[in-house]
Amino acid sequence: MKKSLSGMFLNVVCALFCVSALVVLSGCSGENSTGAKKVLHFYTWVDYIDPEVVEEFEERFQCEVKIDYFDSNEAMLAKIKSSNVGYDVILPTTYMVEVMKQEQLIQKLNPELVPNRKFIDPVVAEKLGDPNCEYSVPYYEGFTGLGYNKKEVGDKAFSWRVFEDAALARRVSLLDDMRESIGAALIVLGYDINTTDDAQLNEARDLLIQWKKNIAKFGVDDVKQGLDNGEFFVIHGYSGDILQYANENPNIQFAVPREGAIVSYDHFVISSASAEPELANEFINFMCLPENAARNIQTTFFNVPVPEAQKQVPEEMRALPGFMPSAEDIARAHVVRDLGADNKKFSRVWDEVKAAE
Amino acid sequence: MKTSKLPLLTTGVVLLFFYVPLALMVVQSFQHKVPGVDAKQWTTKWYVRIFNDDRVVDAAMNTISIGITAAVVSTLLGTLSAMAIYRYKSRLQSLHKGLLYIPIILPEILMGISLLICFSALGIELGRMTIVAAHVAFCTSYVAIIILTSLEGFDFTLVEASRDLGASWLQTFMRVLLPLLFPAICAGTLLAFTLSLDDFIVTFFVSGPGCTTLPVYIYSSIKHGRPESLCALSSVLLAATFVLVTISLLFAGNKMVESERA
Repeated sequence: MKKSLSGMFLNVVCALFCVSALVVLSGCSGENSTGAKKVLHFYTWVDYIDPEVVEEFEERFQCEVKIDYFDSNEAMLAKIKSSNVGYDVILPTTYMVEVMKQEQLIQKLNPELVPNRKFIDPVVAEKLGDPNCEYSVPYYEGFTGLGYNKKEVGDKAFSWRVFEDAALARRVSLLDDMRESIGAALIVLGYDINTTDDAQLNEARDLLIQWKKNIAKFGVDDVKQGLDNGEFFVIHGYSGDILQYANENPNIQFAVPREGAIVSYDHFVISSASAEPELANEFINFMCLPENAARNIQTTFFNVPVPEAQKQVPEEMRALPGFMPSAEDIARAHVVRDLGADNKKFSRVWDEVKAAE
Repeated sequence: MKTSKLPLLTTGVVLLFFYVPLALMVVQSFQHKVPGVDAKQWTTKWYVRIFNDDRVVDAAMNTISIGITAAVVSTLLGTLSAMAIYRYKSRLQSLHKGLLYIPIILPEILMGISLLICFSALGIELGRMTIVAAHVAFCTSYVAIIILTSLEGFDFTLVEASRDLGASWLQTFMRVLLPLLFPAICAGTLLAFTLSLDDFIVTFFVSGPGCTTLPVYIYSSIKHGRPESLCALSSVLLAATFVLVTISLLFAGNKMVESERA
């Protein structure tokens, strides 16, 4: 009996091995894997695009879009830099676009292939320093603000000072993100969030340490659930993530604090190592089309600076507080810039905050 | 006679320490908060959601195909390596035995970076092949060690007897060695598959376009993904790991029973 058992095991393993080996050998990056079909490799964040829009693009351009995911701009940069592997379209955040441009990891868009750039809000493009969308198209717009439980903290106009409110001790959380949290403290103090002045940074550090004594924790992912189930009353977070919960839970709202907030855009860029630059340009152009942008907004709850698309979003979604930031909010919102060697100053402050008792 | 309660207590504490976080995650994956009310409902909707998600299914297929290939290749290499160490007790082989432990103790991040540097220096395109190669690099050691352990109680005179009775090397291998080592080989294959299934760090470094595996997908979901889907996905991976390790242990246990019988 044992012999037949071992024979069976061997047969099964051999069969599985053959199938798997074929799958593995069929390769990841080969155009040959699916016959003549072109393959576009898109490197992005998880849950960050409407899959139906991607399918329509595949049909229209007779190609296959393969999506891979990263969890942070830094991890993506490490991957792209270490061996400029064959990704075509990437979706980094504003400051990372600057880094990638300097390191020549991205190429210019082809203006003729991306006519739909014209739908991008010129105010935003201007603010981000690339008015003609030469290298990138700013897409998902995320305000970093406060998600709060209306039932517990009422409808008061929000201020970053909420982190000092002793009545809310252990019921509030700050983002576990160096630039965002130090940025919030700098905004409250009235300084530039991209400052490299040590005295200003030290002031921000002291304020953050004061906040730290009152908050429950620094968190990104788990705190959203905490807000949803009533464990936290106010959390520091990204607009789209909080609005997803606000859409299901009427007690949750999102607010841009009155002192101002940080806004970040994730931009479509084309890798300089792209094997399909033409298709990559077409992909970006397709996403800028207002009806497609509108569907992406509805999937991710992140706004896209395409005014035509915003008009197509259903009324009940636009009515979510904080979903449609005012022109004033956008105009005075701060954008995180890459500070090159001076990034170290922020790391030092962050380490000191984290180490403080 | 009074039995000490200490062992029971220690076991309890260790188990709590190991399994409470996992249990919490599994419980959360089955919960859904009713909008507007402070109550939770049991639901399987997160599981339905992930199983209907093409991106998750793609990542799972990648993970499984890579896992099987890596497991089989590392089983072949690991078995050969264990046989060499067992059969030829030369100085070279004791060095070989020592080197076997290196991939196990080496920090994974070091292994990931060095493999990545190696692949880019050789101009090898990152993809499923590079992930398989990297997984084989660390799985082989585990397989070899399992088989070596099983060979320790192995009676080599059986092989000699088979040769004396006129069996060729191939026949001896197929008819004598393989059936006797079978449980250890199975245990090794399953363990290698499990290790490959769960690996994140090394895979993260050596994966290329189109090769997202489940652990990489799960990790990347942290920023924008829904935490509940993340819990559900992790629970599936956890269940798969438990089943495979249990089967692997059963095979290993089976071997012990047989060696006692012998």
